[in-house]
Amino acid sequence: MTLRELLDVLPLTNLGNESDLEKTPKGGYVGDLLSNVMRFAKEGNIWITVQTHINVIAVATLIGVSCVIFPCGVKPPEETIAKAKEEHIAILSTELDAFTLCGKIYELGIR
Amino acid sequence: MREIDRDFYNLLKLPVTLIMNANMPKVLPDRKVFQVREILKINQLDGVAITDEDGRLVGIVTMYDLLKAIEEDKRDAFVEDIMTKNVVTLSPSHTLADAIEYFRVYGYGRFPVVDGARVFLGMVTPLDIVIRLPILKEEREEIKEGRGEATKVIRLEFSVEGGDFINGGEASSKIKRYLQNLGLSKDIIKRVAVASYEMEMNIVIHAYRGKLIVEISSDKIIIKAIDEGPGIEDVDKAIQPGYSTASPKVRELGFGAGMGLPNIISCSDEFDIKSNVGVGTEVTSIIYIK
Amino acid sequence: MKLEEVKELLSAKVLCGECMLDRDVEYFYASDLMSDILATVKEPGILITAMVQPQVVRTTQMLDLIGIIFVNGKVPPEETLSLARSNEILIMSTKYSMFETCGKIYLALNKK
Repeated sequence: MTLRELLDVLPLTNLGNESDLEKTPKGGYVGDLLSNVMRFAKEGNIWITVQTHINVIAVATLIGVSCVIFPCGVKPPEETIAKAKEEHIAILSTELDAFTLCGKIYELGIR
Repeated sequence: MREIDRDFYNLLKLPVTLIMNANMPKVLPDRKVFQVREILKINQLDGVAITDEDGRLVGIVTMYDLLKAIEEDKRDAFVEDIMTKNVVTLSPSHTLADAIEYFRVYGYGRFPVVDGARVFLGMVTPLDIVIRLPILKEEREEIKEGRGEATKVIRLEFSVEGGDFINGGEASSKIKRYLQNLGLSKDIIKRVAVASYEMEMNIVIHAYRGKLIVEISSDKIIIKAIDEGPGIEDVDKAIQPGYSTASPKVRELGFGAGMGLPNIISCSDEFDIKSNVGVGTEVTSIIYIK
Repeated sequence: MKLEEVKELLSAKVLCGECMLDRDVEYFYASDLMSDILATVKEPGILITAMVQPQVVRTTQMLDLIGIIFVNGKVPPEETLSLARSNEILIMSTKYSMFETCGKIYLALNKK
């Protein structure tokens, strides 16, 4: 399942480039402590976080996650969005809370 | 010996675990040199522990080691291949005095603290000692309760130390318990608890020291946080959700995401903030008891 | 869902508050950021987090949450446990990641 297909079945909003939605995510990672993300997240993961600092994109690039999703209606600042577009990291947001979002992604078989 | 000197020597007998930085990132041995350099850069660190899957220490690597490796075209090498493997470590039974002695004898910049199974617990640098020693005071101010006879206002006052992440939140716990004993409604208690906790943590994160004052009267609760600290340059910006000046270290403790002041505002019926750059900040939250 | 079932589901180790395992929980929250938790928690429930410092217990206590599940096999420092013990907060630790923990609990809740 690609990110674009994920967008069709879950209430997600794309904040980044349309062209970055072709990736197929592998598993997920939820976490807001950047050092944990750097330690445990894996390449291709969907990363769910409420951290919106521009460093998030640096970490996302470093690990090579397939996308970053901001739950709970969290809106990242412009500089974070701009950096994500520049680095070709897909970024999405949703009104769902992190727990429910994980559950729904997990239910879809992305584990 | 003067009183103050005796206090100082007592502090040196405290375990080194109280002074170490327990919130260090840990890096697996198969991370690459350039990745570890990024990790250090993002966390503003000069050195990091390399640990196995179970958190056991296998080595340490410093920014110097990494830069040297990159210069030698080893940016894609595993960090395992360039790390220092025979590391001198401290254990939780060592005291602060032991740590200082280690720095003097070995001249290294950092010592990892590991338990009996070599599980990495934290890192000690001379800077940790300089920064944390002054806040290693055992005694903290208790509730000062004054009941004005005529007005029936209960006033609670707590002092809060900047940088004290261990005790930060204690004043708010006491305030919450006090309100529960008064039998106030759950909703009011939760709003006061969240607002006072965010205010207390703001002092811990940003200020040198401050006071948290709560005044409870029959119709309202006033919470005030008054601190001595760097102050806020742009107050309008600071109250916007997501805006934060907190360091990466503070973020790793789960704070500093720029949601503190917005949280206080959403808990308050009235809110005010005054700040003087270089002097300090005063935050007031009023919650009405209906 | 009974906390006992949550424990089984996650092969978790209970570090304190064993006596609360028969309690029923409907709400779960997943976050590492204290202010986020303070802003979003509405009903008493369980917090799923990788943040093991004592502040996580303070935050839990402010919100009357019942307990905390630490993920990624994290074991909290003694300060965190003693604060949890004195405030009667249940603590368990699972080897699963926060994502897997949420996924497993979500599926189990929805099966009911």
